[in-house]
Amino acid sequence: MTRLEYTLDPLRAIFKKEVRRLIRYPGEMVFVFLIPYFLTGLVMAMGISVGGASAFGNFAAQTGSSLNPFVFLMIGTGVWMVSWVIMEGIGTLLREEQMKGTLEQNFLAPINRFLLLVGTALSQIVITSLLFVGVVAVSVLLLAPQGALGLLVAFGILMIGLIPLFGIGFVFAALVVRFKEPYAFTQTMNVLFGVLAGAFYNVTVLPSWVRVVSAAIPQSIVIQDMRLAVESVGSIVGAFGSLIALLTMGLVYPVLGYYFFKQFERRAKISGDLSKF
Amino acid sequence: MRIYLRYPSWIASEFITLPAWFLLLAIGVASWAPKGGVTAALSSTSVFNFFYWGFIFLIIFSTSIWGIGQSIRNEQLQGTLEQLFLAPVSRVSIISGRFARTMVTDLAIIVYTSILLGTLSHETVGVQNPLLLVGVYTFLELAVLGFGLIFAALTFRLKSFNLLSNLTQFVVIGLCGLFFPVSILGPLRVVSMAIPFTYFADMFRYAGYGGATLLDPILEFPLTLASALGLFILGLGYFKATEKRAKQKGQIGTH
Repeated sequence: MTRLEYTLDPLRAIFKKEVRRLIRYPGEMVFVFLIPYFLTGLVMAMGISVGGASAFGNFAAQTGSSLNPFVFLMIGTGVWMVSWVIMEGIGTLLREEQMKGTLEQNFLAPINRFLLLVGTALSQIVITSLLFVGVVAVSVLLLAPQGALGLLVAFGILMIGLIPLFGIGFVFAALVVRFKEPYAFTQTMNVLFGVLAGAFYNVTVLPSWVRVVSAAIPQSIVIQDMRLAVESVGSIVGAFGSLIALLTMGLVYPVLGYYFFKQFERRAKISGDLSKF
Repeated sequence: MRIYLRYPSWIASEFITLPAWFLLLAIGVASWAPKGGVTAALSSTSVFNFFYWGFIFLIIFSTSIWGIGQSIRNEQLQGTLEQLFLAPVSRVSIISGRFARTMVTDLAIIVYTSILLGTLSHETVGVQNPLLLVGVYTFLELAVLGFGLIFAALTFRLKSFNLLSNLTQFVVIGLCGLFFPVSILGPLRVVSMAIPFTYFADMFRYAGYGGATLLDPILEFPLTLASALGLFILGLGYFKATEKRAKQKGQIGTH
């Protein structure tokens, strides 16, 4: 077995297992696709009831975007949902293995622990791409077809944004192994991410100190830049700085996340936390 | 209560997540108000109160579904449901005991959320008609207990509890006028008007801060009482019938 095969074989196996697990529950998958549509419809209905006849004009002025409000919101909720699925997928993975009693066997396998997390992260790309097509691409093509070219750029931005998200997911996985109760933690963080990332609004309406926190999470940049790309491909050039920031997060967050994970794993091995649940 | 207190992370999650949802929706909606009017829209008495009372309704409705329906499902998964049903106590006592826990924690969350949101928005949460509010709240609890029993019964038949409860919440949020007037739903308004929870939300809001109601309050109040009694009797009857059938088929603990 060559060194490359030694790396790729387990990666392929983990990827295959995770994809199979993801598509095993079609009801849940359908639900994940419906949520962005539902939330967008809800916010629009609420907004129109508050803004009245000038609601759409107000929305354009408040957000500074000429995008169709439905598309604007669908990009926000779509990315938020992608982030939710990833955080929950990676964050609860180890905990679920713990509960099923398969975690120790996995950790005993003669493969790098990093591959275990990366294989799972890669499987999330499948669901992310499907969500992008079913939520963002559909609404852009139907309601803002002039942004079709920008969709390709938006997809690229989303893919770059996944890398730092995986890093945050590794931190979640570590915290969940340490503190148990995965869903309480991931649910809380995911809702807070929605507030900070501006899923339903432009983050500029947030107070300045909140904007500082918001700028540190990749979801904010991804949502903002994807909206810009769909609005006009040219305008993404002006957001070059934020793309650099996203790329930097892509380099730093996974390394930090994995380091954090290793620290917790080492501590869990000593304290016997890996087998406790 | 002991089980609930055993998981402090879930309690912390509830206390952080619920106001965060409110904040997320409120800021989202304020973006549709005139420019420079975000703060004004959020702290406008009518807008704030409209969302606030809708949100409180949602807390009561959701936790009842999860508190009753999911507890049955959890007992099934843990393998303790059959032992529990063998105990010489009425099913209603078992479920009401769980429901009482839900009510207590709901009230704690509502008080906490009111203080937090009131502080954030500089808006005082007042009660227009306390007596009416207590009456509507009592009817609402009775109605959601009945609805929770229907959910608990469905748990014996359908195993996808999470999916079902999420979809139900979506329907209630989308059609019962919790966060926007049902008038903007157009033809769908007919469906809204056929759902009893539309009137509960409407009366609940009316008792909380006043404002217009869908029907004359003199008519709507007895309507909510009749709906509450109807839902409770229906829920109890359906639960008992489903339990009997599940016993005959040996499906009490099947999951």
